[in-house]
Amino acid sequence: MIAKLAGLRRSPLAVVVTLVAILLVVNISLTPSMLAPAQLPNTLNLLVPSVLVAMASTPSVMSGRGGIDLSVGPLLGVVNVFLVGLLVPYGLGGAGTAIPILLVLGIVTGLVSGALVAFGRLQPVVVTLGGYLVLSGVALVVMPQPVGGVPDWVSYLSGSWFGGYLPRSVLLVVVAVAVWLFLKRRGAIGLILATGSDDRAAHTSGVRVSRVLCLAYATGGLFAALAGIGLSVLIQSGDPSIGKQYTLAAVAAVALGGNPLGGGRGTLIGPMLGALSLFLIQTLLSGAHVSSLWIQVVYGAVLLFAICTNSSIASRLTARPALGSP
Amino acid sequence: MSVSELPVKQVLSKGPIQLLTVVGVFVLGMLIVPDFATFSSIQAMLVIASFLGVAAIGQTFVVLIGGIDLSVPALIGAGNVIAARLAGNGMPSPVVILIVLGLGALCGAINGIVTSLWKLPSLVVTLATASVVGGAVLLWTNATLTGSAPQWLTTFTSAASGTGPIPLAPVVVLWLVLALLAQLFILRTKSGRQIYLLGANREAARLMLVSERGITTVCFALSGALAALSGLLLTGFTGAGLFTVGDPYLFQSIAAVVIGGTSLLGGRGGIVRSVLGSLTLVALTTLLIGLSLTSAAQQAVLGAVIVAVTALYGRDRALGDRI
Amino acid sequence: MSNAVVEARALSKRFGATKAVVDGSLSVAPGEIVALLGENGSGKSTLVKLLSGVLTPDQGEITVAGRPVRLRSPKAALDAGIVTVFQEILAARDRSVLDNLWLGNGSPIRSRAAVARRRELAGQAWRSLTGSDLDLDQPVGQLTLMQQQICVIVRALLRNPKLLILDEATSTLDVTLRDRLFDELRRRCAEGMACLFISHRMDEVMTIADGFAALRSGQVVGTRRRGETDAEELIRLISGREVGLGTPVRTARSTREDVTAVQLEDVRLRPGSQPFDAVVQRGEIVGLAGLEGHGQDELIKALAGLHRVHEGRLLLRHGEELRPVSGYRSGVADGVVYVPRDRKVEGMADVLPIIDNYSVPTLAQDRRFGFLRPRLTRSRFRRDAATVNFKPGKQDSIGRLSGGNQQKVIIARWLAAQPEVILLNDPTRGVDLKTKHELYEVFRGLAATGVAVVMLSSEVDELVHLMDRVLVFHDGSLSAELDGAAVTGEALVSAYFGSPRRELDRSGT
Repeated sequence: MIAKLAGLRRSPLAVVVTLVAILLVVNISLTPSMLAPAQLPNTLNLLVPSVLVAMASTPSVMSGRGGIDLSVGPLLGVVNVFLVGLLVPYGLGGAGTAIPILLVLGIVTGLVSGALVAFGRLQPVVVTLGGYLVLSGVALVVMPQPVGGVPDWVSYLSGSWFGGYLPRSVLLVVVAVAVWLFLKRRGAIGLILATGSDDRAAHTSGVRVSRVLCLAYATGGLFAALAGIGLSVLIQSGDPSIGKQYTLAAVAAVALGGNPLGGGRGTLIGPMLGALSLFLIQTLLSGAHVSSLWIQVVYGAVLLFAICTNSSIASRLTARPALGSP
Repeated sequence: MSVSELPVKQVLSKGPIQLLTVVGVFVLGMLIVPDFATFSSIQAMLVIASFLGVAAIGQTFVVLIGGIDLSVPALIGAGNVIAARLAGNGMPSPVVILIVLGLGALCGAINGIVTSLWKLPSLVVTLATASVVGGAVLLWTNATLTGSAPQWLTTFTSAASGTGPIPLAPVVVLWLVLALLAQLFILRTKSGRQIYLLGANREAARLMLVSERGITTVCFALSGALAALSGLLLTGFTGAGLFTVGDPYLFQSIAAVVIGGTSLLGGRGGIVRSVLGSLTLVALTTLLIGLSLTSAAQQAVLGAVIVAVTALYGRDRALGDRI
Repeated sequence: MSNAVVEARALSKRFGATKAVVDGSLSVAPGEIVALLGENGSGKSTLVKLLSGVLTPDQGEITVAGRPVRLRSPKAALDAGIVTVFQEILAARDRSVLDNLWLGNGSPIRSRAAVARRRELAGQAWRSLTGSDLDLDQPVGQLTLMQQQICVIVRALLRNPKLLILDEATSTLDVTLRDRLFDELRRRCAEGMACLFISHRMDEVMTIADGFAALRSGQVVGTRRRGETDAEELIRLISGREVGLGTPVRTARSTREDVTAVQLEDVRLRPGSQPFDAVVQRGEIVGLAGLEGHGQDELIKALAGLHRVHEGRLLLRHGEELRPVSGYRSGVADGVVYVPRDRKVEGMADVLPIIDNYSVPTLAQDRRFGFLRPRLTRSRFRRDAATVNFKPGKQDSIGRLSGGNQQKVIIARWLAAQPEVILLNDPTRGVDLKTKHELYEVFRGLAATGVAVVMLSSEVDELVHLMDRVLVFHDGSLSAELDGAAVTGEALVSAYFGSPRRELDRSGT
């Protein structure tokens, strides 16, 4: 156990784990009621979309070649708006119909980005930037103004089991993690990482790089769809403009979590903890009644500090023997 | 200096294709939208383009070294607010200008130093500093409208003004002059050539005596100063200071650079291209407004166009060619 | 030849206006090793890419075991049994050695049993080739260059190929490992594997190949079998003219002056290694040699100011006195230039024009009132290009030049800095024979003007042919210093393994 902890010090997760630990302690001492069964579901409902959207950005970043998915934020908005603005009014709001439709929506959108990157050879920043704009626009076209009215199963998910100790929205994260573990077991994550590390090596070794890229972005789309459901659970309505702000928070979470933006390395848990850290910073500052404007300043400063530290750790990890630098 | 010879499709990224694109969009606009190409309409478009264009020049410098500057909207907002506040309080304009440019350059320099010192991705670093700057400015103004614009600035940015004998608003002339100077800088100075080298191959650039820290800092400082300048100019246009005025410029500045054909990978492209990219973007937006598209639909179309345009001349090399 | 494992008939491939391969026809039978020879620009790498599925031919066909196949992707080639080790080391450096060894090979499913079996097989294969073990879980990026090359070779071998294509795969291997590789190749060929072997090193080719195919201007201009030809004829075939470069002959034209340019005092490269002294005079060409990883790479980088030795003084001449090395930049300012080993990564920016790759370090010379005058740069370039025998063609981007030409531009770049000492780290790696000899002439010319040339070389022939003196390194210290006529192939190889008088014995990897 001690050895594992010692190894953690040199791991890319070191920073984010430490950060979470500190923030948890501080938060709980300041607002012990945070973990109370009455509060816990609210806290988690707030947290779940952020965690899921960070997870949604992870596979695209891992896949390399400047991989990133800027469209995850608007995508979760579109999913939310689709559910409330299209599926419910047309009677498709039931869990059995809505959930598959929404997940497919996410996967297909991800696939389109992935295909443009893989087959179109367009740069991911550009493709997903375009996606960001298209999806933001689409969300507003579908629902120009926020509208209330979510299906029952969404309200159900905002509650909890065991009298508040197990908020049901956690289920969404569990599903995402399960999908990831499944992909890991099938070796797909390893292929994504190998492609991110050197796509030419993967290609010449017989890996179908295009398919791997599409898989990475499609998985991101799936997680973004889950995040969209999570958002619906949180706000119990449809809102076309909320999604956008999640994008940059997702990128920050991935960077905080120790995943290099160049791809080829990284974990899923890192970005999840990164999202948790950012969330805890916000709750800490609002719990201390600090103006939300200060939150921005602190958020930026913590992010800077974390990535600098991550970088120092990473450069020690990948130091090659017998090579100097000017 | 010419762009290196690339496989067939990417030869399109050389030379006149950006010019053709602008002209193409323009012609389309003329055909579809009434009063698109009237003199006053063009003047107005050019003024709008100049705010974007000035910021895009800065973004181009950063993109050329392989980075990206996401603090542009925050610095535009900061420039806007600081200029309005200080000018509104009666500070003499030259001082205001110096302060705004100085703060922008300082912020940019910090971006550059942090990025190069710790070898961090500029995407995240500029994101973080944008957050800090944004929070700071919002705290200072309590997130409300503030200040006012001095008269000369309002005239400077008015579409109806001319600049001496030239029938263009002074802000447009300023933009074009800055662009020219910037292009001269990257083509005809040692530092300018070093920018390309750093963007093309960092390792080789270091061995070829390029100071990575120095060049990175300079590029980000330029981007910061130009973004702040753009914000200051916007004060003349909007008449007051509001931080959120910078928000749309995040994606617009990147889009202008990308549409102009400068590669996000670094080492390829130039300032003139970003001028053309800015013009294309504004012409396109005006076209869409003329078609009575809602701002939502405009966004969606814009996004699709960016992707389509990049597909024309901004694609990466095929895997087979990279082996 | 219906029993051929792989046969290529009349392959052709063009890129725009350039015809890279015009008529590529060759065949390899089971159990035979065919050497594909050709200068850079002859179409060799394109032919390799066509056979490995990286590119598809415009015309012609490829058959495997008599059946025509369409190799639309590397996967198709791999499925057909054609496994290629490319010139550039293509490895996913963030992933572990184990992951790389099995990359794309079989189902990626990670059940415990499957992983254990792969670990076992990988370990065996590594041990079989190198004679030692390796921690398979470390990231490939942490391995030395030679280990990385072994990794990609073992990866290929694990696929049990029908045809193994080795494109300059021995470039970073030291003599021991190359011999072990050759043994492994012979073992497998005895079991029916075919091999297409590409190398610029004539000594290797003559040792291992059963057959030869000579490529010139995109066409296979001749095939020979072992025993019916010699190196000279082969060179004549691939170059189309008499070159007379078959056997290494010492050119005894030393231009050594009496002035010391580089002085090494009590230098200990690593903790625990033996200290040594050495001197390089102006006007001489000194080689640094040894098995990979024995210190010569560290030394040349230390002289460039890119690496710190453990102890000792490294002095460079500056005017009248000798001063210690004080960093890369000041080194260049003092006239010490360094040509790095890995062209693509450290040597040049391949998207930039040739002229930029040449001029940037010395642009200050072209400045007038703060602005550059391109005309000055261009005339400087013409002058320096002539010195290195580089003929600028229509190519604008350096990435499109052959390896040899790229190296010429890089050397021209540093000539523009008017060096007094030029440090070259394996400059002729991956360079074709004709250009190699042109470069030798350039180095001789430089030495004749008084420049001290220090060159790390991994090729015995080159060391014998070109160097006035050779410093051989073993285990981080100087194992032998051979001078003049004493520089022979046997002396060098013995020195690689320790004392020059010791018998050849195995050294660890």
